Amino acid sequence: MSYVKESETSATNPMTNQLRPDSPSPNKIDRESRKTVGKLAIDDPRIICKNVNVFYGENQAINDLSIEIGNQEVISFIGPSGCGKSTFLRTLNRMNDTIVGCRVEGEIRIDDKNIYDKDMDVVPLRAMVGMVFQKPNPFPKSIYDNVAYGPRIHGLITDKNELDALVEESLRRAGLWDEVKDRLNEPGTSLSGGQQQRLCIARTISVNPEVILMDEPCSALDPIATAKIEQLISELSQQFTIVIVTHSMQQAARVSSRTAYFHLGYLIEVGNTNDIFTHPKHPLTEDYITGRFG
Amino acid sequence: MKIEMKDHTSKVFDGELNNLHCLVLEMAGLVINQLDQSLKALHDREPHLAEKVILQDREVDNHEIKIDNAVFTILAKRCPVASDLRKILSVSKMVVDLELIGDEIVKISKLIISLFDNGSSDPNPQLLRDIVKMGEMISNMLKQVTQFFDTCDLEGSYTLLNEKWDYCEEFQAGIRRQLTFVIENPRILSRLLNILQIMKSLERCGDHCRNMNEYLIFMFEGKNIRHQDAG
Repeated sequence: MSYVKESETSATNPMTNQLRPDSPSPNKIDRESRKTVGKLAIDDPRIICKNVNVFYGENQAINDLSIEIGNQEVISFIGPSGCGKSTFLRTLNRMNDTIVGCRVEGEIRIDDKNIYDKDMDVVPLRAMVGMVFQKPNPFPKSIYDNVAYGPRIHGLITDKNELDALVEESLRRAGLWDEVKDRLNEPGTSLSGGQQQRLCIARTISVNPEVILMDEPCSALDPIATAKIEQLISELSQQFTIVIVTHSMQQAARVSSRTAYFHLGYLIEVGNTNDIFTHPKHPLTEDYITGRFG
Repeated sequence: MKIEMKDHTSKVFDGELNNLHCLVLEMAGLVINQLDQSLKALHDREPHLAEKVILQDREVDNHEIKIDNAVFTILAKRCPVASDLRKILSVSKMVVDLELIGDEIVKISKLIISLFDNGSSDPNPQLLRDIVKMGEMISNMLKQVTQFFDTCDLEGSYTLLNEKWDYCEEFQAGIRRQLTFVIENPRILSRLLNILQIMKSLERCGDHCRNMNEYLIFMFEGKNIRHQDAG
């Protein structure tokens, strides 16, 4: 007769099946290694980057970076200042073309078209890949005209009624309509910081882009305005691919489904946000997110 | 394999985590001392020592509250992630097990006092041998787990996890031996029941040590090895 539950005896318990530490464990990846850790490929890619190198004159800002960004995915880029995350973000809609001495090598394909091909027109590209900046930058025009500007210059809509409907829809999707519907003719700059940023997002989505790039969109906003933008990001992710650069790791953890960590121009680790923030694989990622940097 | 981490950029945060670490070591030290003293009380037939062990439990409970408060504050202020978050979560679970070990030792101490009650005759040393042997196994296990926690020894944790759990077999064998004694001398039945309760409490202590070791593996590696057959 056994006086101990059978499952508790050492001979029958599954725990005795000689469990071993994971391989590779966090400590087995060399801290000096710059090889990207994590799965770069994704099932339904919208943007495919292969061996991207970016130079500012003689200085190399991005080193041999490859990554795929999924359709309707929110991916955040994190890393210390100067690690190349904003530079890489700007390569995705050729904003770096405006910087003298900037040179991009490699391939970035959006919907199977290399955006660095010579025949690529950057105007429709930047409509397709919209951008929201760190500081809200509404045009010195009315709230209405800020949103209507894009569709007008791209010739998307000519009819006034259709334009009214598009402005309303864009402002609604940006969560701003109820706050501004009675003062559409007031200057965009009269709004609060958070409202201005949402106006910029409304302006971006009014031309129906496929990808939205956000470069620290909440760094100039208070926590309430930040929460509204984050809620907006989660709603917009139903329709758009969103790439967000942020210095707030908690924000990256809250809004994105995948996170990529950059360090000194290298993509160090990419993976599911849940994994990155609970057990990152690369020691440099661990150091950065736990505040052991420097 | 010892896991080594760099210091945080914020030395204040390092200080808060070190404080938490020290509190856990202190609490574990108190519980180990409680267990060793209760075994000594049994071995030396000293009910007064068992009474002291019972009084010591208040200090263990105080440490649990202090650790809970430290965990709560760090979570609220620092929003820890990755290894820091795992450490804090593991600590908050480990202290529950430590406190429960303390409670079991209090039960054991009360039973020891009743064993050496003035009105009863001196217990047979053979009856006590099994308890002391089992108790020493548990004490060693608790000391090992505490050391692995202190030195971040992942390899040690896995070694302990994969070891045979002698105390389970000892518990089973002990019950058989006690039954043999009671068949020979039915008058020791009530004392036998006390001894069985002590052994059961020690077995529970061993289970709590095992839980703590599993939390350590989660803390070091982020791998949840508990309930392998679940979900």
